[in-house]
Amino acid sequence: MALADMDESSGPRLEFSQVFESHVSFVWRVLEHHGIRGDDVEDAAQEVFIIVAKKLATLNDPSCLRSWLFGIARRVAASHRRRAHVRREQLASDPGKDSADMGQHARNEQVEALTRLESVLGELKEEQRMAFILREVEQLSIQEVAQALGCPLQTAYSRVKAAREHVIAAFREPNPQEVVDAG
Amino acid sequence: MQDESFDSRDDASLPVPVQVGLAAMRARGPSPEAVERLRAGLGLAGPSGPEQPPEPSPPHPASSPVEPPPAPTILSLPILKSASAVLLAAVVGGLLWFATRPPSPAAVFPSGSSATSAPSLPTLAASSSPQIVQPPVSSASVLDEPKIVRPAESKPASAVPSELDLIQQAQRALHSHPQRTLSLCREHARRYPHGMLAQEREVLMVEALQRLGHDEEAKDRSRAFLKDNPDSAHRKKIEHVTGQPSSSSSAPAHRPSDAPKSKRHE
Repeated sequence: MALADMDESSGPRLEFSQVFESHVSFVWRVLEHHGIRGDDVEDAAQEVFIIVAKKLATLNDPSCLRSWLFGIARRVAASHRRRAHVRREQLASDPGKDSADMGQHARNEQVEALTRLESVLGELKEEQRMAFILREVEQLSIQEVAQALGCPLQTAYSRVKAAREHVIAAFREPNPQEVVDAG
Repeated sequence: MQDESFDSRDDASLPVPVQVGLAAMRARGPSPEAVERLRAGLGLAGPSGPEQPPEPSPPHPASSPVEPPPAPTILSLPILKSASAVLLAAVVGGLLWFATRPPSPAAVFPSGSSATSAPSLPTLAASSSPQIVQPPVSSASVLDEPKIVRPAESKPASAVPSELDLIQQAQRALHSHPQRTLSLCREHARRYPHGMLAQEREVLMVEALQRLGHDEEAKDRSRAFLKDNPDSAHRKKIEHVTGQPSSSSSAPAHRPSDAPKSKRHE
């Protein structure tokens, strides 16, 4: 009964503090995946968890927690983007910040791989990109991906599959950056 | 519910640079300071006291029969460290060559040493008692194992094996030589205890231990992993591998998720 208390009226109930501790990083990344950057992420995360605190009691199935959090974070991100005029293009590359975040073990190959992957994902349709991110980065089950994206299971499968194929094909090509360097 | 519907996915089927990119994405998250500010803003209780994460969780000394004796004291000597780095670079090169070969250990390792002792196609089914007796593995044996080195395909001898090198080799060896995966992961834990691929290392170790039949240790490790990384993106995979629906409760309220990941500055 982890993460959950018994509530006489509504069955198993998740405890807010533990939802926060266990999923703050997930929410943070979801916001970043939706193009929120810099200080806005923290503001948006705060907003997400305020909503979570208010609505957590309405979530009856703990197995839906991550897709539920994703939905809230997505809506908050959309609202933030509208307000802050954060352009979608900023999503694909912010390598300077990324490399600084990686700390002392950062290596060029990792920074390059991250930058390239983000760039390749940026070429995908939004629904495919998000399906890939949820499945491959956040490692949600395909059912959770379908729930999060509000699409049938088979659609979730095919979006992830299409995105994977695109990514694999793109990485078969020489890294454009290396080609430039070599030239 | 979720575990039943878990459709196994495997990073290993993706190109290595994609795996690295995925790992880098998964490593993102709020700084401890940001988490503190969020807690404060949400009126949540902070951590109960100045918990200083003492040591990286990976080594888990004395928790298993196959755990190597602590070697860092020797390797902390600069000259030995660089010497071992050279050796290890050669080893990783050899493994790279090895990993690309068909799984025919006996032919690859004519010395017939412990390198050939890894079981072929170990089953994932949980056997209650470990049937496979592995020779004790130490850092030294990691360095000694492969006798064949193909310099042409190895990294420059002066290069220290990168995180990526180690994890990549460990990943490739998982299915055919889980014992080698363990050795490489331990090497990674020693060199990069807080590395960006530390979580990948732990997942690989759990999988390798399972394949070797060390179910209890695999479960111990997975529990420790989930306790230290309650919001890890690898959570479901770990739970799936060990067949443990280890609930999020494994993260007690007084142990914030960021505690093991980064040192606190207070």
